[in-house]
Amino acid sequence: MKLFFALAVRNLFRNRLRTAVSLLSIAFGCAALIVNSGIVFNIFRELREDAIHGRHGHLQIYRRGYSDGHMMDPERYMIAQSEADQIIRIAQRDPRVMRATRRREFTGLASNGGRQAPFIGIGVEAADDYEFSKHTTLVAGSQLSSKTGYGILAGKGLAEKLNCHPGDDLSLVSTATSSQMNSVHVRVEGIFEGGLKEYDDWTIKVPIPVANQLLLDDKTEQIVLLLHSTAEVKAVEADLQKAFRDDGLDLEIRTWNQLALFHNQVVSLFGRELDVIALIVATIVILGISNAVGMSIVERRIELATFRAVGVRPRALAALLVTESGFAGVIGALIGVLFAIGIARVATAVGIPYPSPPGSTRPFRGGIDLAISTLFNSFIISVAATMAAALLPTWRAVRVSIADTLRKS
Amino acid sequence: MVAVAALVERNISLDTLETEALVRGENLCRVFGSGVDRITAVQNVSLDFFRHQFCALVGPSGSGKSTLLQLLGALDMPTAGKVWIKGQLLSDFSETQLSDLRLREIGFVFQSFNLSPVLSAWENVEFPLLFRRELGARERRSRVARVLDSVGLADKSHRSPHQLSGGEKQRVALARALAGQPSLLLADEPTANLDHDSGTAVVHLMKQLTREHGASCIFATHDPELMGLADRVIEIRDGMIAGEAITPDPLSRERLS
Repeated sequence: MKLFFALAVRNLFRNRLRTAVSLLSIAFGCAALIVNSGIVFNIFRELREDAIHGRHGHLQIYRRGYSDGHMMDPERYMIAQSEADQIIRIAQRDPRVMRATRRREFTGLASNGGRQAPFIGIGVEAADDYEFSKHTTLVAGSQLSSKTGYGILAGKGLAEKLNCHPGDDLSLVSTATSSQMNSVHVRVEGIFEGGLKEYDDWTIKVPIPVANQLLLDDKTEQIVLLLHSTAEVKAVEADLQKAFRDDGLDLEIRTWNQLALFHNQVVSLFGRELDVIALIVATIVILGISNAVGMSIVERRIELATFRAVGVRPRALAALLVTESGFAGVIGALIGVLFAIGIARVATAVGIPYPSPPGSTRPFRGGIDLAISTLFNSFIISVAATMAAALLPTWRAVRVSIADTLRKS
Repeated sequence: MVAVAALVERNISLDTLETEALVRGENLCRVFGSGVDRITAVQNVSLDFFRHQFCALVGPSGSGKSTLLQLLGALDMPTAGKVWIKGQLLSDFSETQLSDLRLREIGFVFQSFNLSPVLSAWENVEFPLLFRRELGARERRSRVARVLDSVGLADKSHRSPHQLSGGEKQRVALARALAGQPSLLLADEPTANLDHDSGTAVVHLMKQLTREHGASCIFATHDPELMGLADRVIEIRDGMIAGEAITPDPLSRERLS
């Protein structure tokens, strides 16, 4: 079959200009698929990291039934101090867990003199907050720390509503778990931008001791974990479930992507868009290449009729023509992959400036993420499209009358 | 039908004749187009070709020689009539079976050589043999070497067609046709694109090699000089057989009498 493949390759380079144009078409198509996917995956990654390092962490641990029932009966799903310590100890035994922290969510009313605004409070361990908020931008003031005391961080939108700045005092009023109203005075330590407008418009981060003072208990609502690697989320979740069960704890674990609804909606929407782009590029390659393949077949019609005359079966002739296209696809797609890698490296080094995405509060500078799976899929799609482009001209070529073709020669 | 008569004289029955005829055409018609564009290229032609014959189809251009060769070579199907090769009715064959028949039983030589320009002389000869799965690589190479040697191109086997003269190209085409050791060699105006000497040399070679390979050969020509090399000449005019003659070739005469 060496000669069969040699013939396919040599036929490919019979008309070098046409082949070059075809190869460039395939290469551009393949590179377009990779670059487009790389840009979208980069945006997905930014959103994912925003969700993990800005809001949700990798895993959140609650008392079982929390997700469905805590709105109706929040007290029932609170975790006692000692139990929270036990959960954190178990979680930190796993070397894949980088950090574990407590959180508590509550709602209330913040006032700055004459201005008032409802807020969503997040009680955080001040010493851990920086690590869990790396994708949160501090636009004014300073981060929370173990020395913060009554300092809080306010979302940018909420700070604007309250007209407060770092150093200003605020009053926070909330309903304690015993149903009585309570208030604390806090000082604005810093103002942050978390990426999501709704988040920035409503959120105040409060050290847990302050939250406990406001809510008149020492309970925790959730334990949030940061892992060393996002890829380990599922495995750690499964192992922790077992470890908690073994220790007699009935807990519910939710992963970041179960919580990051905005991220999931964007991935779902743009994921579909990626499929459509792949289809469009494949169609363009098929239409562009089929014309070139058709021209090549028309030019060689006498030779192909001669092959049929000397006994080459129609199916074998079709295999030859599709193999030629396959070689073109492989060469073109390889060029496309190399081209895309070059573009990705340059674009990532320089950075692509983006405006704020829908629902987000800040522009960002992205790059092009190259995944082996993207390179492989784009390569396969390009080769398949090129081979598909040969099908119709090939089908026509093997159906023409040998006698007619030879007679016209 | 002198050849048939000769066999009948030897008390061979017509049943035996059918099985012995290498190629048989019966009431062959081939019509192209329809209505006012209708052209009858071959009409009502019946003939038999036997083993070891070196036969010339002669006639002016457009007389139907090429069309008749295509019908006999399973390249085209008659509008009416039947063709048998080695007793097998071609109309019963699928496209794939016809391909296999051409691969194994028929060799073709064309007026314009029809060699692949991207293959060397050796590769052009070897290419059809790739599809003979029963031939191993060694047997295939051995056949190609032998047949290229027999056409006198052993030393030019690596050359591309564009590096060969017209006569050499036609010898490569002849080698390609004979490498499969066919029963029947069909050559359509094999000398039309060659000078006189080269053309005569190619036909001499065809005659010699078909005899060595035990094959029969039918070639179309309108060169009166080449007719003299054939041991049977069939004249075609307006798509019909206008005449037939056996030339005094000692070997053919010996086989027919």
